[in-house]
Amino acid sequence: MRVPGTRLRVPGSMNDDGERHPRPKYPVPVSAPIPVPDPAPVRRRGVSFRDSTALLAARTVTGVVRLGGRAGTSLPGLVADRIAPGLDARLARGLAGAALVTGTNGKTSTAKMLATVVEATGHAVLANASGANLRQSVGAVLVNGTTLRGTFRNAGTIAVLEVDEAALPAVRPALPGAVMVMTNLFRDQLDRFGETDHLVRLWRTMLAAEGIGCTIAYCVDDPRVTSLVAIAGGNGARLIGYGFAGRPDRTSAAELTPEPVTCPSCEGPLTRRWTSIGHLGDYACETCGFGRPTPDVTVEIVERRGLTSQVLRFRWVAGAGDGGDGGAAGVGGESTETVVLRLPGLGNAYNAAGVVAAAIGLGIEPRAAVRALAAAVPPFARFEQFTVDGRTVVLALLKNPATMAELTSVAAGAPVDRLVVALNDAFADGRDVSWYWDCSPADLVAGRPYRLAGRRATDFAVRLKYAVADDPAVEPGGFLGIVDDPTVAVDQTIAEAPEGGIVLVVATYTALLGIRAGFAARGAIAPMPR
Amino acid sequence: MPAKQPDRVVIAHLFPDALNLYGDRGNIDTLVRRAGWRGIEAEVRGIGAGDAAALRGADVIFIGGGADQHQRAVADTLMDLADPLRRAIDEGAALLAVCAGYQNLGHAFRSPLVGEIRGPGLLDVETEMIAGAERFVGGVVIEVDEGSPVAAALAREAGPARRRVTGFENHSGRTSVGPAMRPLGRVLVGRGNDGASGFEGAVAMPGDGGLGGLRIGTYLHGPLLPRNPHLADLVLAMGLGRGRPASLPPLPDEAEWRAHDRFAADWTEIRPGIVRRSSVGRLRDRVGSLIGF
Repeated sequence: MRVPGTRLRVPGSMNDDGERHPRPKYPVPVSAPIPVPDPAPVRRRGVSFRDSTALLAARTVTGVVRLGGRAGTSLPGLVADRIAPGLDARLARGLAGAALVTGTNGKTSTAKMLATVVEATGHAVLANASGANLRQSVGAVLVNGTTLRGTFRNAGTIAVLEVDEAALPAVRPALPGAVMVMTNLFRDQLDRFGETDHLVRLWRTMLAAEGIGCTIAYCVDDPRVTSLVAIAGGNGARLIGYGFAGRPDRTSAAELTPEPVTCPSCEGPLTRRWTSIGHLGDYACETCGFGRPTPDVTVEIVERRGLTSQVLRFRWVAGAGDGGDGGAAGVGGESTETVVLRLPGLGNAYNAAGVVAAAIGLGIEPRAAVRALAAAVPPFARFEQFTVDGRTVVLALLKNPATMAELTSVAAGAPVDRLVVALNDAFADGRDVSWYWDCSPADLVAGRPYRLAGRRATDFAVRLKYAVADDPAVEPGGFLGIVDDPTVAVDQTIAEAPEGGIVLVVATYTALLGIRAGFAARGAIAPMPR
Repeated sequence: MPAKQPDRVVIAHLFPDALNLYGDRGNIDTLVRRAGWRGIEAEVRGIGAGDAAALRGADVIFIGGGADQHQRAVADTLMDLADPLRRAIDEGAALLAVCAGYQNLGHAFRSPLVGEIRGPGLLDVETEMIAGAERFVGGVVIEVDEGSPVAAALAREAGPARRRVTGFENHSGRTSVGPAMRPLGRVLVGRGNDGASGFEGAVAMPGDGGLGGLRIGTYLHGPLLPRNPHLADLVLAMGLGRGRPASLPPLPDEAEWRAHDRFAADWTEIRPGIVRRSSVGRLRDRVGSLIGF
C-alpha cells in the first residue's frame, strides 16, 4: 500500500536527485568499517530501510485507522516501534528543540500555551492531541510529523509534547534533550496507575539518571515535585522554578481535602505559610530544612474576569533566563510583564507561569513569552467557549478533586445561568469516581439551576444532597433532575437557558467527548484535532 | 426494647490526615448528615497519636484508606491506641474500618516489601500482600446472607429486601477472616477479601468475640456509606444504642437507593462474578486504548 505523494526508498538505490543513499545502518556488523561521514551540512539525511519501512507501515496504519473514524493516536507508534525499535529517538534528533510537559494537572493547557508561545517565535511546532500522551502516542506524533525520509517537514521544528506522568520515564529516552516541564503531582484517578507514591518512585528513578544537559521547568509550590527535581538538580541539571508570588485570593473555599503530604525528604511535618490549590503553596520543614525554593518566575492574578479570562502579572529575575543581558532592569534585577490570558483560574495562572519557565529553558526571551500568551486559547474542554442558539456554552473537563476545586473556584465568581454536571466512569474517565467526595461541589451549584447526567449521575446526586442540604445559597428547586445521556442533558439545558445566557458544562472525559462531538457535528465548534 | 434516641453522636475519625483516600470523608459526612436530619448533633473528633483520651465516649469509630507509606506510618500509633480503642468498642462504640484501615486493625499484615506489621487485632483478620499478585480494582456488589444476624440488623433499617452492599475495591491484599468474625457478605460482583473465597469484609455483631460493639471491616469504598444508607444507619444505630440498636426515624432515601441500584446494575454488567475478566474483555480494553478509544 502506498501513501499518495510518497515513495518507498530502497537502500542502495538512486533517489530523485541521483544521489546514492547511504547504506542501511541496520544490521551493522561488529567489524564494520568506519563509515565515511556524509558531506556536511547534511541535507535530508537518509534513513535505514527498516526505519523507512516502519514509517511507511505506521503511516499506512494511521490512514486506515482514520478511515475507520478513529483518531489513531497510539497504534502507528506501536507499529513503528515493533518494526524499528528506537525509531522515535532517531527521528527526534532532527528537532530543533523539544519540551515534554507532564504532571497530573495542567499538562494539556500548559502544552497548548507553550506551543502558542513557540509558534510566536517563528518555529514550527510539533504537538500531540490532547490525551494522546502515552509512549506509543508520542511515537506516533513523531512518525506522522516526519516525511518518509525521517525529516521534519519544516526546518527548525520544535516539539511540544504533553506526556502522561506515568509514561514519562518511557518517553524520556526518545527525547533526551527536551526541556521537561513538571506541573504538579496531585492524586489522580486512583485506579488507573495506582497511588501517587508509585508515580513518585517512577520519577525518582528517572530523575536520578538526569544531570548536566538536562533542563527542568517545575512548580516550586509542589513539595513533591520540588523534592524530586532536586535529585536531578544535584547532578547538575538546570532547574527553572515557577510559582505564585504569594497567597492567591480564592473566590470559593472548595474544601479540597488536603492530601497527606509530609516532608518528602524526612517525612516530618511540613509547615504551610499558605496554600493555593490542594497541597500546592509555600512550605517548609522545620526538621530537615527542606522548603520551597525561591522561584525564578512568579505569577500573580491582577484581575479575574469570570469564565473568560484573567489578568496576570509575571515577574522573573533578569539573568534567570534572559541570556544574561539583564534587559531593562539590569543584571540581577526583576523584570515584570502583564498579560490578559484567555484561560481563567488559579490552575491556568500556574500553567502560564510554567510556560514562561519552559520558554526560558528553550531559550525564548521571557518578556516575548509572556506577550505571546495573549494569543493563547483554551484547549479542548478547558473553559472552551462557543455559541449555540444564542447561548454561550462553556466546556470544562473534570478529572479529579483538584480540577473540581478549580472549576468550583472559577465558577463561583462567574455569571452562569445553567449548569450541567456529567459524570461517566469508563476507563478513560477513571473507573473510581469516589474522589468527588474529597471536595465540596456546593459552590459549584449555588445560585444556579443544575442538571446531572452520565453513568454516575445518581451517585453525584447523593454527593450533592449531602453537600448542599440546608445550604441557603443553593437555589430552591435548582436541581433540574437527572438525564442519562450527557448530550441530551446539555441540549435540553441550552434550550431552557435564557437567550444570551451562559451554560457551563462540567464533565468527565468520555462525557465531554460525546458532548463535544455533538456540537462539532452541528458545526458549532471545530472537531477535535487528530 | 430499643434504646431511646439520643440527641448527640460522637464520631471518632482515626488518622484523618494520613488515611483519607478514596473519598473517605464521604463516610463521615454521611454519618453527620443522617444524624443531623434526625435532630442528632454530631461531633467529629480526629484521632491521632496521643489522642487516646478523645476516644472516651465515642459512639462510632471510623478508620479509612491510605497509601502504603501512611499505613506503615500509623501502625505504631495504632498499637499505642489499641487498649483505649478496645475499651471504647467494648463499651458499645460501632467500628467501621475501610481498606487500609481494615488491614491495619487486624492481627497482622505481611508484605514482601515491609515484612510483617502487627496490628491491634480489633478485627479477627490477617492480610497478606503477595508480590506481583493481581490488584483487585472495580465495582463490587455483595449480599449479606439471608437469616444472618447482619441481615436481620440491616432489615431493621431498610426492610428485608435490602441485603446488598455496593462499593469500589482497589487493593492487592489477601485477607482471611478468623473464627471470631464472619464475612460481611457473599461477592456477587468483584473479588472481595481474597478473590477466591467468594466473601467480602468481616463483621462481628455486638457481643461477638467478647466485645460489646458492632465491628465491620471491608475493602469497599466509593465511599461506602452514602450509597448504602442501610449500612450507615446500622452503624449509627448500633453506636448510639451502645450495642443495642437505637431507634432511628426513617429518612427519604430515594436518591441513595437510586444510586445504589444503578451502581449495582452497571457493575453487574461490566464485572460478573469473581471470575477473572475474560481474555476477550482484556483484549478489547487494550485495543480500545491503542486506537484512542
